[in-house]
Amino acid sequence: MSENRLRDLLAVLPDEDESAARAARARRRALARLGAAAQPRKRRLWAPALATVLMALGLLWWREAQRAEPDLAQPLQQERLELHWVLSDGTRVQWVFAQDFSL
Amino acid sequence: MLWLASPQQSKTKPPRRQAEFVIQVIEASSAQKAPNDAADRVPAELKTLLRYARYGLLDSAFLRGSEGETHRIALASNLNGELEFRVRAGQEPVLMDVDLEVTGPAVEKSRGPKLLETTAAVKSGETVVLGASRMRGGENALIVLLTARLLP
Repeated sequence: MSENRLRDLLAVLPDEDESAARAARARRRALARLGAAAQPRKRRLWAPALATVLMALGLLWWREAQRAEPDLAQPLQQERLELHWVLSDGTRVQWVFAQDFSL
Repeated sequence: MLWLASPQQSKTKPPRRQAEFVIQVIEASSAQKAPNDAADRVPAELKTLLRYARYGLLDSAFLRGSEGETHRIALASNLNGELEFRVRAGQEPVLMDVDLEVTGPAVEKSRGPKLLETTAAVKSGETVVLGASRMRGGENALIVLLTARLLP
């Protein structure tokens, strides 16, 4: 290969510094793309997990609300509590909650 | 003097009234295999408020007695009841204050534990629901349907 031909070829290729700078730019772009791709994936996992937790909490709340044993009357640290209430048909109810009740 | 005082006393003290009571004792239970023969007697609305699954009739009793006296009655196989009532004067409709106490089985000659102790103001002919259960949790409850009727 003649010396001129070699010089032409070398003139076409980027020099060493320029190659390193291009590689660094390409790496940064790749990292940026990777980050952008990872972000929605994280969100996709997080959203159903939150929805599941909320649904579970809602289900627990609903079950407790359904049980509603005159849970109206679950007083704290009280030995005895008497509740009076009237049903819609006028029937009166008196209910005694006692710590030591045992039938 | 004594002879003269006696009619005056009878004027000031009104005669003791008599009343009849029907007492239905029901056990409410969460156990799926418990009896459920009294489910119809418990108001449906009340059942929606309670978490019990079954309602079994323990006993049904009829009692007639006088105002101001303590009436004792054996209920179910091992429960005891005490009932006393007073008629409220000058009220229309007539109201009776009924003290009811239900105790559990006696333990070694001493009185059994109190299961229910309450005072209900009942109109003649009215049925009130009296209940007792454990403060937190508990698998069962005692329900007493008390119907009172004042005799003329």
